[in-house]
Amino acid sequence: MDDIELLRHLGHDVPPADPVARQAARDALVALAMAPTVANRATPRLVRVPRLIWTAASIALAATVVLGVLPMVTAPSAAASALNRAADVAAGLFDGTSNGYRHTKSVGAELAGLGGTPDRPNGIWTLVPVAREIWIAPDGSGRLIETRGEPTWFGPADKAAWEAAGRPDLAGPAHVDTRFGPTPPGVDPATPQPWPGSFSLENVDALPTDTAALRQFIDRRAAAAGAANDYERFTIVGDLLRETVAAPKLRAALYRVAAGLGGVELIGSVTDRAGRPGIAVAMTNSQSSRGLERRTLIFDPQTSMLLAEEDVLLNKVNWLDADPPIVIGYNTYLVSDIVPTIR
Amino acid sequence: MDRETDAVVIAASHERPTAFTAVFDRHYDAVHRYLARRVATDLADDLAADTFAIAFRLRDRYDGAHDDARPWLFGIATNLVRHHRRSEARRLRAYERVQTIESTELDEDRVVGRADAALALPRVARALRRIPDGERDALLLLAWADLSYDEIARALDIPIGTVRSRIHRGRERLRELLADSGQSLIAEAITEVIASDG
Repeated sequence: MDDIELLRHLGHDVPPADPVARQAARDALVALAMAPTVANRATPRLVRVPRLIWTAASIALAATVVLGVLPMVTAPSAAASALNRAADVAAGLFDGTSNGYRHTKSVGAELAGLGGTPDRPNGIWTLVPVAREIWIAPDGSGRLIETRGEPTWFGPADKAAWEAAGRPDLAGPAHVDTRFGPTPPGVDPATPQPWPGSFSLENVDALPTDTAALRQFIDRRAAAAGAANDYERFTIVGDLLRETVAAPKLRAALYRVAAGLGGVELIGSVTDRAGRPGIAVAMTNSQSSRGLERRTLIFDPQTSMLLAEEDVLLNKVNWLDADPPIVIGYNTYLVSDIVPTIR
Repeated sequence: MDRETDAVVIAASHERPTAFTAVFDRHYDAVHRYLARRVATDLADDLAADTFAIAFRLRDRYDGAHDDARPWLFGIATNLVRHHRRSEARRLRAYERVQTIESTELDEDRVVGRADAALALPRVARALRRIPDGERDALLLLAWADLSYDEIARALDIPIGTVRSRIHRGRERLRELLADSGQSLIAEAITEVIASDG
């Protein structure tokens, strides 16, 4: 069923813009453009719903295990060494296959908010805890359950603005239980497609485990996303580790690709929000529209499995009522396994 | 001679602010139409004007790597709609009451499909009202603003993967809600009619 075509016909017959209203809007714009310099000065950045969909634990915990504040960032070569060690660990593991469901259970928090009004251009922002559990069959079909908790405010100004606005919904539905269909046949995995996680498991299983070939795939994927840079490649490595229960040989190749990226830093030994020891690597993006943003991946040195992720803003930004470092999203993977059935 | 890109016009507006009116002239009608489909007409007039006023104030932030300003403008417009969800809900309720499909030269079989479509669209509007805001924004930027996934990602400032998942989830929900109202088969038939109408 092509429901998009159906949607296109909804409201197709709205009348065209009233010429009087159009002219009034244009006149107002011209007046604004011709106004003195102060009126022409750029206002703070329009902040929109952010890049991350993270999943979730308690914000209180975030305050006590803030990986983002760890200062011990070392040279990129140290990160490459740590990632290559993780690759070696993965390469040494049994690379069995399974036709069961890839099952991932995680907790985290996602940024949610409203923004971009003339009277409040910086928006109203909160961090929403999300618990997530997903099962994905080899054909790409599966089930996703998400539960969102009460938002936690970055500062009193956000909460006050939210109350003044009549307490609009920021977090989305409290509980979502969705079953999704299989991946259509013949899809190029390097082309963005509309399904959860954006990679079917057949695609993931078919990915090359040769580092150079995998890097080529990631390059194509980054280009398709319109961001052919190492930060995007680092993000794609995370995408391929996240909720895919990637086989050891693929994990090894992914870590080797990450080791070859410019700008990856070693944060070092950390404890994730679930209390597990891990090795953290990170990359900082100075081009993000959200601010100076650092994305961190934490992996288990014994198994090379992805344990957790985190996004932190390292500088003071005008759209959040908080001082840096500001955790704007995180995810802790509590269970990553292959199971015979969907619960 | 090719016209200047939006990016060039916006860059020029730093030195000559009134140059920005070219962006208005190119895109006002499309932005207004998108807004008028989402909220009441009077409010759409206001929000369309606000969209360009905000865009003008924010032009220093425009990423000149993107020639086409439409995603940026539709993103601003979508943000403005978020503050008028009640009006949007009223608009969708209005669609539930009255909705028709324009089509011409239908044969008899397709006339039946057209009648079914007229029955289904109100239910589509009802379903649309019941899906999460973020998913509705992504779906409507795709269907009503004709943005690509990449452009929607720019408009909403979210990763393209999130766009894909929102659209996927939105469509799944839409289908579920239509199925709940007994319209899945009808909607399927109708879509075929619409698609064949081009």
